[in-house]
Amino acid sequence: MIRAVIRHLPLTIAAAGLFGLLLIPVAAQETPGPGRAAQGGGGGGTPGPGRGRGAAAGPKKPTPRLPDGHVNLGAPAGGSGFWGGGGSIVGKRGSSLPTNPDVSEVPFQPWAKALYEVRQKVGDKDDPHARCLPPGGPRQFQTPNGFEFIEQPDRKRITIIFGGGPRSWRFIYLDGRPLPSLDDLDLIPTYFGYSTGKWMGDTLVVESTGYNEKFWFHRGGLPHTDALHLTERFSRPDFDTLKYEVTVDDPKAYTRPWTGGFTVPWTYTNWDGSPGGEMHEYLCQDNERDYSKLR
Amino acid sequence: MTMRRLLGVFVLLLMLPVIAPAVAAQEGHPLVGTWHGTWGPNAKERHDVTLVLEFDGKAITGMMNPGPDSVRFDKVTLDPSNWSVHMEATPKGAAKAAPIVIDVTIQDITNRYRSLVGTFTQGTVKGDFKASRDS
Repeated sequence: MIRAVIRHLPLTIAAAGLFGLLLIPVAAQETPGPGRAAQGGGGGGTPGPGRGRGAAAGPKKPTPRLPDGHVNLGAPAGGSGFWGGGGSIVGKRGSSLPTNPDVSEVPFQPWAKALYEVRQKVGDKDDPHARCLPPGGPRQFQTPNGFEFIEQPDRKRITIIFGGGPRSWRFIYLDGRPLPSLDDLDLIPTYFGYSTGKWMGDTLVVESTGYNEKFWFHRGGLPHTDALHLTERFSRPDFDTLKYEVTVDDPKAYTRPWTGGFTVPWTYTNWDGSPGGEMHEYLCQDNERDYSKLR
Repeated sequence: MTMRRLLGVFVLLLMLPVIAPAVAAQEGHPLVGTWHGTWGPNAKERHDVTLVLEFDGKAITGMMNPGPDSVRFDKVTLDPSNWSVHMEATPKGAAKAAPIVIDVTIQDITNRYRSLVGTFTQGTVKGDFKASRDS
């Protein structure tokens, strides 16, 4: 037996090498983003509150603040890092909030419940995000490769940049402007909607409306319509934790408003696990190889 | 216009059908939008049909063949347990004719290329009906 192995050793080594080469393109496609562990929707594997990805062991670090005293949702001056991927606004697994409704408690309209159940059975093959379309609503924080808040006080707005999907961004205006009316015929519905925000104590409260219907606003396919109105609450109870809570108000898809959320860990590492906490360049379109098969 | 520009325009025109479907995707209420198709008693005799359907959170409303001869639906119901759809319309004015009843099922419900397949009945004439969602 040993003699046979030795006789075929060159062939075995060549086969192993070829196998290794075959794996390379697969590994390139499946970029291990910081938030990938949260892809299951329940947030399995995502660090819980106070345990940022790559954080040193020890007591929780306090919430960072900007010179004017309000909470800093980004990296402190001279620091780095960004937010990883979050969990689900339905159910209580992983990093999802313990106050979340279970699926059976979500006040679906009958058509929305039936559609959600079909999507759950069929899987993600018809998910627009699988074709690299941008995800609005909570989905933007569930996408691997993280996100970052950029405060722009001179422009009275916060920009959120997303490292995953099609590498998109979103503006939250803090200048007191009103939300557009859904009855405005000139309103162009968008993937991220139109957002206005204000600080209420240590919580950034953001109201958004004007969404289009070209995306799934939550991983797994919770339905929404163009009537969707979201109230998002962002807070940072400690340095390593972002608490995200959202009230979903869409009378065309749900019989009443409902609320869910999750926590998101601060990420100290680069995509390959090395120290740094910088979002790397990732473009969904660069890795998208399913479109022709999904049609 | 140079040959290179002409080639560029040609390539862009070729790409349009690929780009358009992604732009037209609609993931909300599965009936909402515009549907194009045909109905007829057999494969040779076909009539073009366009449906425009809306949902206000309570009722599904809409019309058939928008334009001077459009017909508003009196009733549209959806049964999500099997995705069957029942539509009734009474043509009025110049288009006055026998009442129309369309009974269809939404096929491939999660797909943006979903379709309505079933029957179209107007008075004593009955035929098969098929329409695809296009916006």
